[in-house]
Amino acid sequence: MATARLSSNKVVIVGAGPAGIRCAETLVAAGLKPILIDENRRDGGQIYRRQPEGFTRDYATLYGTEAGKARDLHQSFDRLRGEIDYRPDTLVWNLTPGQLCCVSQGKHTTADYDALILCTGATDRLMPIEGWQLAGTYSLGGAQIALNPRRFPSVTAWCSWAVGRCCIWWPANMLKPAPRWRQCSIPRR
Amino acid sequence: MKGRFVRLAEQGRPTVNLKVDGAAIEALQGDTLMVALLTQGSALRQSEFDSGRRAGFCLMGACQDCWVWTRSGERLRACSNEVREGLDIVTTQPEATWPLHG
Repeated sequence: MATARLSSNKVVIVGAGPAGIRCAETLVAAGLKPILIDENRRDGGQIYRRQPEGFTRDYATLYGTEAGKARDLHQSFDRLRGEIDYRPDTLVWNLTPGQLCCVSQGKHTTADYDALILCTGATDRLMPIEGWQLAGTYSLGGAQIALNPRRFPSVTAWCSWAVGRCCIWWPANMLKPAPRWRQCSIPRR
Repeated sequence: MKGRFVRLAEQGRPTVNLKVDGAAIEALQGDTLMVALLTQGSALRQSEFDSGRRAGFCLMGACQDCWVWTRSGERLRACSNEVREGLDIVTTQPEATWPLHG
């Protein structure tokens, strides 16, 4: 009976990255059908972002040392897809007791929940060194998105000032996908 | 600087035609608006708050730095919206002009 009661509850997961997908997997295994809301158009989150339709690079090219994990995550999502209520391209902008306020393709929507699980991941913590606000300076997370050419396909030839000073972080994160630099410029007004 | 971004791979995609501030540009299918605009120029738009130009910052839909607009007034984040054929983009904020402090 506990299971029957549980399965009538609405469980909403926010975020379709690794945490959200594994969370959905666990809930489905327990007999639930969670709603999975994600702002991106495709699953995978930031680090394991899937390339747009029509792009042709393989996992090793896209994800480098993370290729195995990325493939496993995407395959897990593909298996789950029919077992969950997946709502991509949906931004959650407010939370009230029992209800999420969302916007999808410019339209307001809501999602009711009995239980809510936030799998929203990490965000950059910024250190405002001089010049950080100039056009052409990017957060490290942003640089990583661009250099791991999924969302910003193949367009990767600047070197932001902030990144230039982060020589410890850089090699670890850019081990495989880093392209060669074509230009390296300190942004100017 | 002609373009802040330079294409290095995946260049065999079909082209998409759109307008930016009235000028026709070509992009590739699957490009984000940010890619389309920053392969053509060094910035996306004018800052609302100082005299600087803006070119995006977080690239993941969080920082609100890359807003551009359609001519009909719809706001789009350039980092997370893809190009579409015939899109008519403007890079100045249509709703309001802010006093500059910079």
